[in-house]
Amino acid sequence: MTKLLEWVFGVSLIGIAWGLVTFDLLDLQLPPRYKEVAWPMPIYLLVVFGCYSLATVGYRVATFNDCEDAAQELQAQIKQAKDDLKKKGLKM
Amino acid sequence: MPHRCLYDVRHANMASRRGNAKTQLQSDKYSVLLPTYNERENLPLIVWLLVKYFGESGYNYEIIVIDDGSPDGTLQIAEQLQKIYGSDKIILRPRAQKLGLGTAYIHGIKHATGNFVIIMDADLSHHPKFIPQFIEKQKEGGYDLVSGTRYRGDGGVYGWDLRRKLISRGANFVTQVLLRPGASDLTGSFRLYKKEVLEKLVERCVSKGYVFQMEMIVRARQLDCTIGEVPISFVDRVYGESKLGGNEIVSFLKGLLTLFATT
Repeated sequence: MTKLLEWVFGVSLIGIAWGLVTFDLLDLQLPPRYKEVAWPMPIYLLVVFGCYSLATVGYRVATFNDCEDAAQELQAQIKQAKDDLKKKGLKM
Repeated sequence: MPHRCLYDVRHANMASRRGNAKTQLQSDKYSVLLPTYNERENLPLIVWLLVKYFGESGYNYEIIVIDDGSPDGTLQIAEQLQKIYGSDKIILRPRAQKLGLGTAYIHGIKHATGNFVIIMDADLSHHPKFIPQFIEKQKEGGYDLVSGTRYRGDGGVYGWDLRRKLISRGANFVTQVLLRPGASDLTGSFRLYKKEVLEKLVERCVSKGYVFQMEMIVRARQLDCTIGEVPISFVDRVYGESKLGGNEIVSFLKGLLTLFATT
């Protein structure tokens, strides 16, 4: 199953469950509280996911390591390499 | 039940091995594939670093330079390096023109005598000092491929501004949500593969650019290949010249959605 199909399947399941509860399609005689909670769920879940995404990406950008040492080490090694290669006869 | 990732390959190999009575104990050899285009300045430096770190670690290796007809004389520099380090260590497999990364890998693998292949960029953004860590990680877990990650552990980048970091992390987040690939850095191209695994994956991949590297990981997952990760530092010296523009972002998203819908 492709990822797209997995998503379609998952969303359909949730959608059917939501529809069943909100519109009382199976005539389950659920207490009205269930309907009140279920009805705004899709919007609520989207908002929660949106906030989670922003928080996660924000955190990851903030903690993205800056490799200062690696850059300096590389500069030093480049000088070393150029000197050594010149000695070995490389014409750059 | 044999490990599924290499099952087809082992099946094919068994048939040819039945005729061979002697079983040779082969030690591991690492073939480094370096596709180059206009890397006259960087090629000697990356080769020097590779020789240094492979020499210090004692692993057996070869460096295969695949130059796509660079007009700046990269091939001539490569020939000089071959004289300095030996034609058993530096192997030249040039091509007439710029033909793309996937075909460069295929071309390089054909001439690789190692049982492991390391792919990396030749512009010094990937540092050979991580290669012994890749090798040790692979031995530790018997992984089919080991991927360098900028996003975990003490991995990171140098030379990226906020905008670039934001785009990178944002794109990676979308990719993780949509594809759930089981690897933290999908667009990275600093990896160690078992040679047969790389061969199998490259022939199944159809995308280009960033998305090609992503597709390799996704296809590896499909084939139940095991993936190890090593944090790496990515030192971007060319960022100033190659801005991540709207076009690149659009083609990345197109490629991502294609993978989403087809894998």
